[in-house]
Amino acid sequence: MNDRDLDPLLSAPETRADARFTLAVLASLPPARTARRPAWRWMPLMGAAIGGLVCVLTGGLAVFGAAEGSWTQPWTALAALCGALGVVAVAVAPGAADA
Amino acid sequence: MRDADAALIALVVHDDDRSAFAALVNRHQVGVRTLLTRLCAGDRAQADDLAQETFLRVYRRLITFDRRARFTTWLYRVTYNVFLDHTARRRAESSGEGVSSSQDTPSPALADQVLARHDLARAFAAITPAERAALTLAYAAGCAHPEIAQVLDCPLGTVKTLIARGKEKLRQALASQTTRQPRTESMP
Repeated sequence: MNDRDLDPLLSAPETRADARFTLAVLASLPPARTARRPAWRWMPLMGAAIGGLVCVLTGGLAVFGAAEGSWTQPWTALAALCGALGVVAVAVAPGAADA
Repeated sequence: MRDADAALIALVVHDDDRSAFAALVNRHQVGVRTLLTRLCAGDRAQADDLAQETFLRVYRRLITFDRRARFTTWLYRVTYNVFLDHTARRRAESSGEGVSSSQDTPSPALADQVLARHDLARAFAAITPAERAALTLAYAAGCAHPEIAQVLDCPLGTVKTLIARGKEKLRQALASQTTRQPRTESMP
């Protein structure tokens, strides 16, 4: 037998991909770890959520101030701005935590 | 190819993503099972048991894998180590039972029973495990010689010798089978 006959025999795989084999391997693995999210990855979410909550409350104050007819007061405008930022912060917080 | 492996490995290591590990097993099971089938000289059941053990070991040690290296090199090294551990265990058991420990291949009875299906598998029983691994990695897995040297943990020159000597032995074994076969078939 020469190389021309032997090489194709050696190159041929002995098996084909088998889903049952994959399932057997998965079944033999140890139980799944509980979700391990590093503590630092929670920080953007926590920071944005707390900041957002505070800003929404100050936004509420702004609405209250507007109802009282004090739009001209600087604190009312500042509180309205904080409220808007709060809405944005709460909206982007989950995305920031996953980044 | 390497990028796909790297992405799957990252998912397994960081998130313990089982579907990513399943994808890794799907991608590499043919290579691992082919190598082990030939190392076990055609005993597919044994090879599949060891392949399962290999992937379990890969799962446990994936965190130690250096991602700058080629994944298949590391994977085949784990595979070969699993086979060597199995051979050492079997040898220890055999010596404990007072049975000859000179078996690197299945017993003749088992070989006859299992390997008769395939001439090449039978011929593989006639060569050493290192030669089987070198030939399978070079031809079936398409590994370069330096990569095989890393897997087998031996010098490059040794790899070339293993391949050349293994091929010559296979050629002789296959030739002797073809000269014997007509007589076997003519028997009643």
